[in-house]
Amino acid sequence: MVADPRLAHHFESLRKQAHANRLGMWLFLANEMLLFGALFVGYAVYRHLFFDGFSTASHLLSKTLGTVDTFILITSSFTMAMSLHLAHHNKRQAATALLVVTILFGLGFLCVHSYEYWHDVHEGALPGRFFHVEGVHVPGASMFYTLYFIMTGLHSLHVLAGVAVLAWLAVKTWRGAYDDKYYAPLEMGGLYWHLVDLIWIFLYPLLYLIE
Amino acid sequence: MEPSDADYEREEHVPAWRHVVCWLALCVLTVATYSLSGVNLGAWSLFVAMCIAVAKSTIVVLFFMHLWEHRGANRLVFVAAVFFIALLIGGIMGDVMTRFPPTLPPR
Repeated sequence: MVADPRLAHHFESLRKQAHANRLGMWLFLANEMLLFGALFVGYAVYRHLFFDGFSTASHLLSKTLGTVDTFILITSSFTMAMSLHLAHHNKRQAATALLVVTILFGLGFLCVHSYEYWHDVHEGALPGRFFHVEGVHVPGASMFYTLYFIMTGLHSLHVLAGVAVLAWLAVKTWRGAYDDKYYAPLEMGGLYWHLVDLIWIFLYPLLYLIE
Repeated sequence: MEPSDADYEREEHVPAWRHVVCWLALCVLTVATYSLSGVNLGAWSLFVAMCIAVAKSTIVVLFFMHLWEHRGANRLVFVAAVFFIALLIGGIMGDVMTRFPPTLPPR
């Protein structure tokens, strides 16, 4: 019997290889969670110390656009999960199509966010000493924007990286690299994409919906 | 313990409708957070918003990320990460929230 070229020599079977892949990916995702976790702690401290400033600053953001961002990301997570499902059932073309849809949602998210950044810069809603929104002189408002730009900026970089990974996976899927026996790279790319969605699920109420 | 073929089968055969249900649930919860943010819940608003966010992320982690079917180790890694984040937030907020006024920055 000829060994499957996709099976690394130190694994007994593709299934065991996939299990090792998955564990490694989860360890990486745990690190990502801790990275964002530290930023969330910083947010919690300053929100507690400067609640009025955070509340005022948050009202300068567009709730509507934040909600649009959220719908885009949860829907892209859904199309990603469906794409993996289809690839696993040997539906190569449908899986590729859904990956392309996922990528378009990712790019859509980045477009909406770029517009928001442009608007923030225009209003003077900037981090630290660059903050100069007319009529807003509450302590902590500038700190809100420092955290806002760091957290959403880092998140957007993750979306960008995710789009790049998904583009590579879409090409591979189209060429027929994945089937019911082997789909580990697609699954790992999907896990990364879902994590990006997961982080946004927390960023959305914390940044956009302070009463 | 060595996984049996039945374990793998269970893991690999998830019906597509489950993803659709999850997506609808996520949409409903997003609408819920958005609508509730307009209601004045006072001190409870953060709690309610975080409960909804936790519910949404639970759906994503269990079903989109398949922790529901996966065995042991991956779940342990995830729970460990959540535990350390909780420890960090708990410890630091416990400190910040119990400081007496003169040590706090002026509002």
